[in-house]
Amino acid sequence: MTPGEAVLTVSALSVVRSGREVLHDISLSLRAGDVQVLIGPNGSGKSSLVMALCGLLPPAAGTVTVGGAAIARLSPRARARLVAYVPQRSELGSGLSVAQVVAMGRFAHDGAWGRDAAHQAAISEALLQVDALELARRPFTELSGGETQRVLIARALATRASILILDEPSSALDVAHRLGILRLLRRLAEAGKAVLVALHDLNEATQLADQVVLLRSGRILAQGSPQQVITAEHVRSAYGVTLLPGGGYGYALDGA
Amino acid sequence: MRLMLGVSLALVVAAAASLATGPVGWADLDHQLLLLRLIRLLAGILAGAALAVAGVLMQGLFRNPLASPSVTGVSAGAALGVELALMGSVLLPGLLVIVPAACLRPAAGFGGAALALGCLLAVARRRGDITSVVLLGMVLSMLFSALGAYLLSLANDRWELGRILVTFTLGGIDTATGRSVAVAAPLVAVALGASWCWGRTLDVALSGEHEAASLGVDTRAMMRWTLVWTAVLASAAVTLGGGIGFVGLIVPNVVRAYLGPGHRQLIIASALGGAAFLTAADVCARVLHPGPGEIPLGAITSLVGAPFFIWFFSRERAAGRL
Repeated sequence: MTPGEAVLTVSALSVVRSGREVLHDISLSLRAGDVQVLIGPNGSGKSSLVMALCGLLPPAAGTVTVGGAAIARLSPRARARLVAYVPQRSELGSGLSVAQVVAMGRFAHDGAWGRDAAHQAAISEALLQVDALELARRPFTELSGGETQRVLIARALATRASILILDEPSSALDVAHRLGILRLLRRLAEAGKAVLVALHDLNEATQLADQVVLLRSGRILAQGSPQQVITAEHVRSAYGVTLLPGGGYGYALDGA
Repeated sequence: MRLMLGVSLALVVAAAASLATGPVGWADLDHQLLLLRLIRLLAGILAGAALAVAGVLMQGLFRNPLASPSVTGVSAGAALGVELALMGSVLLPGLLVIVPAACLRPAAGFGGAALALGCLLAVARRRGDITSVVLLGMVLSMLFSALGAYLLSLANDRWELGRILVTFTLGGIDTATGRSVAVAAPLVAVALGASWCWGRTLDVALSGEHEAASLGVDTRAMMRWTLVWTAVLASAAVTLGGGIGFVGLIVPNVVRAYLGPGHRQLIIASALGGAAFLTAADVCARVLHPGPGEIPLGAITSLVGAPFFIWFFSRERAAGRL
């Protein structure tokens, strides 16, 4: 996979949930090394699009193509080796260590009887990438919000999928942890991953994105560079609020 | 490993006690009597292992430590099937010409379980979500139990038939025959092996349907096959031992507290633990009854199980492990 190569393509995608069309005529392309950010008000279809891109919601029309194949035609294991999903929060209960949670990312690679040869190396490498190697033995449910999110990203990295799709990974975190996650995502894109992330915060989207997709009522209102998309007109149209000139929170991680 | 050794040792001790317990002492035991006790022991081991592992599967599938095979309606379906067979064999003796007596009970049990399973799989195929399956399972369970109660009320008109049905409903492995053990043993063995194979998938499924699917789990296949193997295990247990409760609830939860949630280990240890628990309970059923006769096995497991489970659940809850 070379930087700039389109690794995921969405063509005229429509998705219906509970009899209601939640996504309509969505087309976009995700490239290796890029971070693409999905923004939009609550109920605009961000989470539905994230799930459809991961093959977790079937398209009513259109296609999601990964590595030249329609994602809907791939087996769950083949799909998991290509596209990794990071949920907003995990439903995992007590009793599992961080290492066991990250090991779940190897499920699509393991055989019926044994682990694949790269099992342990992939887990350690994934934990290392998110600076969480020291958490390996800790109980997963006892982690802080920021640590939990890093471990879920590590689980996605353990799949060794080239595409990483995240659903509002920073929404429950404080400022420092949010910026830490954004920095991590940028680093992963620089390492060659194609990253698509749904975010609420427009400042974070501006900081992080190479490309932004603005959704409203299940349709794309605008897509392009952050400067092209996050404009006063688009923000007013999508959110019904006025974008103040010279906005921004004005904080950064130490050393950033 | 220590827990595995512990439950294996407990099973050996319970098995030895089971062979040695009865109105005839060990020294006076003839070949025929020993064979009967061996059949009873094997029935207890199979039913206990099957019930405990069926509990592990249900708790894994529904991600709820309080789930048990009864929530699928499969146990109640198997029980209804056996009750119908018992009624049929008394009221329509000609039936036994078509189906041999030793095969009628297992066949009817598996038939009743298959009926419940068919309904569950149809819903799982159409809807694909676990909540719908649970709701249908509970409705089926209530429906089959109500039909069973109606059969029992009808059977009260004939003393002998009523006694047979009540004995079956209360649970017990004293009526197990060599043929019923021979029918159940391969089914339980295959179902235990298959359950172990699904262990890693159930581990990943702990993260919920969407996350598990994103990690490569075919959630529909997992639900379908977990229900199938639960049905095989539960119906084998019901066929062998009738209405025995609590084993699928107590054993997996105790084992999980020590071994953690990894399903492959849990399945092996629960199979051993379930076998040991039910064999020990069967010994108690024989020993604790004042005078001749036995305490119903289902009553023993519930009498021991209910307070134990309340104590255990409170302890684990307080420790934050449940």
